[in-house]
Amino acid sequence: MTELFRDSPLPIRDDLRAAHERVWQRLARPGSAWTGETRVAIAAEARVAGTCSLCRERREAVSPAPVAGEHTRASELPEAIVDAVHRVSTDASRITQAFVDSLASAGVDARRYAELVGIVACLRSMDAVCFGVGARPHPLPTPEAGEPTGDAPARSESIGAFIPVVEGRLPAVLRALGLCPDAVRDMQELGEAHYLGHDEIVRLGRSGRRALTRPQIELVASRVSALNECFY
Amino acid sequence: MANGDGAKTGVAHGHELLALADAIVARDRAATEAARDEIVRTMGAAAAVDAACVVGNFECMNRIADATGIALDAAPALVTTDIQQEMGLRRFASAGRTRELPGWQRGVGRALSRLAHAGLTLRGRLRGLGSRGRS
Repeated sequence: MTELFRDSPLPIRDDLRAAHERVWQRLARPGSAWTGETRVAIAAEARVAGTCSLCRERREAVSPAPVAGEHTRASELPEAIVDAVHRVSTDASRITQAFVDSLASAGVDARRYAELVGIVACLRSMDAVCFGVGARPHPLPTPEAGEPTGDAPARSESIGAFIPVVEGRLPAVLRALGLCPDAVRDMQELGEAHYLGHDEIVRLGRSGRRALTRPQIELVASRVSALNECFY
Repeated sequence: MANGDGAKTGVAHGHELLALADAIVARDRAATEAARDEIVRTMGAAAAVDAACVVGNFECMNRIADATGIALDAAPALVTTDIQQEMGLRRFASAGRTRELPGWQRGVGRALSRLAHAGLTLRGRLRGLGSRGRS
């Protein structure tokens, strides 16, 4: 695999590079619900969504539903899946239960949706880091052959979210993708490298190994969340 | 005063960090380069990398929270009622998934929040006294 962040003008931490490499390699493999080929295609669509004119028009509209048109595409995925990827990528705060439910008729059940969300979210995360440190986006990996693994949690529960989450006492955001264990693993791995480890998060006032203080970290976090209009 | 515009956020180098966050989220290449260079100059290269990483983390977590439709967990919902109101967070479409608390619960949350703030402030002062004693 090409060395990631090779063209960044900044020194990249070893743990950051390693986390990106691991998540990137897993992207190419069959997941719980999607093949490697579909997973990479989802990532390609998530990346092109940033320059999609239909997505831009919908984001600027009072409501996205009445805005018709065709997405700028990067794959041969079915239209419903492309639309879901682009919506999660560019306008997630206005996704509704009705929209998620409508995906079932296109074969995107709750587990497939969880895996789709995980791929898009991680792709946007890694692309943002690359952009911020002055590196080119990681080249999409070559998909690996094989069938989806079918991995699923032993138990899930409904907490009023759009899809069931894995049972447990952790915050909802850490359980939200639980129908797809690989998605949770990717999210946690990137979270440790990008933000803080779980034991560091609960130690208020400390920033552990980071060059930023905790208040500085949370200032940036709050700003990004406000810009994305994420209430959570 | 020592940290320039950071004084408005109460966070050292807050202005530089907000500029980088805004630029990355907007995918504004020129602004990102300028903001990154400024952080490198004033805080060091490692801080610039870490700041970009925090942006990346919340680009991820925001999408997970919103695309899955989770509501704010009970404890944070209770203690952040003041913040929600002061910052007008209820204007976000995603706020509709978290029910607004009745008045008496908001009062309890407000009290808990102030207690927590007082506790953290006291802990900070005690730590400061302890480190001075050791030096």
